[in-house]
Amino acid sequence: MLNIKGIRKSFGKTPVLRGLDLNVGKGDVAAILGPSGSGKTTLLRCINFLERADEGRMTIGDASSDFKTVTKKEIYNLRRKTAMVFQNYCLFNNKTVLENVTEGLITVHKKSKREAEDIAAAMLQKVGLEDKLNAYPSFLSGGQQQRVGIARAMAQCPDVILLDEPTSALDPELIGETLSVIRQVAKSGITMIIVTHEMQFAAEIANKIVFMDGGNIIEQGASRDFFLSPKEERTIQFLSRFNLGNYYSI
Amino acid sequence: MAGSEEVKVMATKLFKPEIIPELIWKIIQAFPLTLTLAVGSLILGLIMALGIAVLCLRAPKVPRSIANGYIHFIRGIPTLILIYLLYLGFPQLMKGLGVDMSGVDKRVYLVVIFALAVSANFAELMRSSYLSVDNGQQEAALAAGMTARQGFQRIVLPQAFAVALPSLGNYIIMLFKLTSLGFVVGVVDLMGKTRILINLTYGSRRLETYLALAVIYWALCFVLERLNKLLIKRYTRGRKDLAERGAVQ
Ligand SMILES: Nc1ncnc2c1ncn2[C@@H]1O[C@H](COP(=O)(O)OP(=O)(O)O)[C@@H](O)[C@H]1O
Ligand SMILES: [Mg+2]
Repeated sequence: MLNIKGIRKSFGKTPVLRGLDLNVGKGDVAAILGPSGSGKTTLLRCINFLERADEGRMTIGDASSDFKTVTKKEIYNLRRKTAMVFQNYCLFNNKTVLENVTEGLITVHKKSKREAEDIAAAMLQKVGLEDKLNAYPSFLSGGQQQRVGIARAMAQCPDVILLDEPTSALDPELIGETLSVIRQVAKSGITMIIVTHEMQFAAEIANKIVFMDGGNIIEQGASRDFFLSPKEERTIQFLSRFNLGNYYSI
Repeated sequence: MAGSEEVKVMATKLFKPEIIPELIWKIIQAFPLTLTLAVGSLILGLIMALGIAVLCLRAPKVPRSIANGYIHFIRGIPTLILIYLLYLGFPQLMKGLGVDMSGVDKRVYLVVIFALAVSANFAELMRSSYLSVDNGQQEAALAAGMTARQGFQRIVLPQAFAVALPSLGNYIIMLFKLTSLGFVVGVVDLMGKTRILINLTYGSRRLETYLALAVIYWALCFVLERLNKLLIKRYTRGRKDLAERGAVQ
């Protein structure tokens, strides 16, 4: 499904991604963990071409490109196979909730307005916002905004949905509602890459864990193995900060 | 006897407000020129400003600092001086270079001069309004698969416009009033017409005539302000943050 080989990215002289490989299969839910500054956001942004990686290859479904030589057309093509859920939501402020979801469907997927609105309304119902269709983002709580963000991403029917710390800008009492929507998305069988600091949550929904540190993938593997028997010293150190025992001891 | 005394009183009456409506009617005949000057320089000024704003935002260092310098330069010059410099000074310079500028219409000069005068403020406004829109808006559009152009037109531009509207409205109102300086080169706009009417009565009805002119400008600005309020309301719909900012102004 999504395959990355040798991706490198530097900001100026600072290397942020140091040639890492990532493979996410169809229907996988991959959680990327790691301390802040380890390059998780940059990796997602490179996958979505919001940042241009310096080197490496990426394949998503049937489309493949080299980061060094990728053309504009290939970028648009690859981008359409992914959708992004942003840490700070990034809803279109000048659009209603419904329009936030229909916008991409109409301009990118060339759906009629009617059709787009039907799809959007159905998506928004799934995230529990059917009564907010005509509200503007600034009138919504963070949790509601993020659920719109998820609906917007889902409506595009992407091959992979990328979520960058979708709950870390939320007030504690709003995290739960957002996590439960993500849980539901994860169960629907869509391929997902999620950066998160919610260890328990990652352990629960992800079947694959990727641990990053200092621009490298230190360890990756099946969720159970990763949490129960981490192999790398740095992983063990990182995990020791979280009390996960109770989740996997059940 | 009694009749001629009455005439005397009438003639010496210092202030005759009852003639103001008629004066308004006479002055307003010159409105088309004021409108032409304002709209012409508004459009030209916006085009110039767009170029300057793009330079300020996108260009390499040298053209960018030239654009910034231009903004500072224009902002620091009283428009009246700009008129004298360009209307009187520039043709003189061109003549020295063998180009005869005497065929160029005064109104063309004025449109260009007023456009220059407002272009700096417009450019600065465009730049700051564009920058006020969070980068994440365009990124979200791109992430949704939209082209950079679609993202700009459908997401970023409307938001920047909403931010710019209150000041834009004020600048347009200022521009309307600014065109009254055109009289110094002898065009018959509202102000020019007013001065002609005053000269016809040998200055005896100066107060009434200027009051009539003030009423016209005031009404014009009132309409523009109303229009701007309506537009602001429309473009900040659903924007709690912007609506609050607008309410403060
Ligand atoms: N646009 C940028 N310009 C310069 N440095 C950046 C930029 N974005 C991220 N970085 C740097 O790259 C490193 C990794 O950042 P990031 O990918 O955001 O990490 P994470 O998401 O894991 O916290 C950090 O040291 C950060 O300072
Ligand atoms: Mg991050």
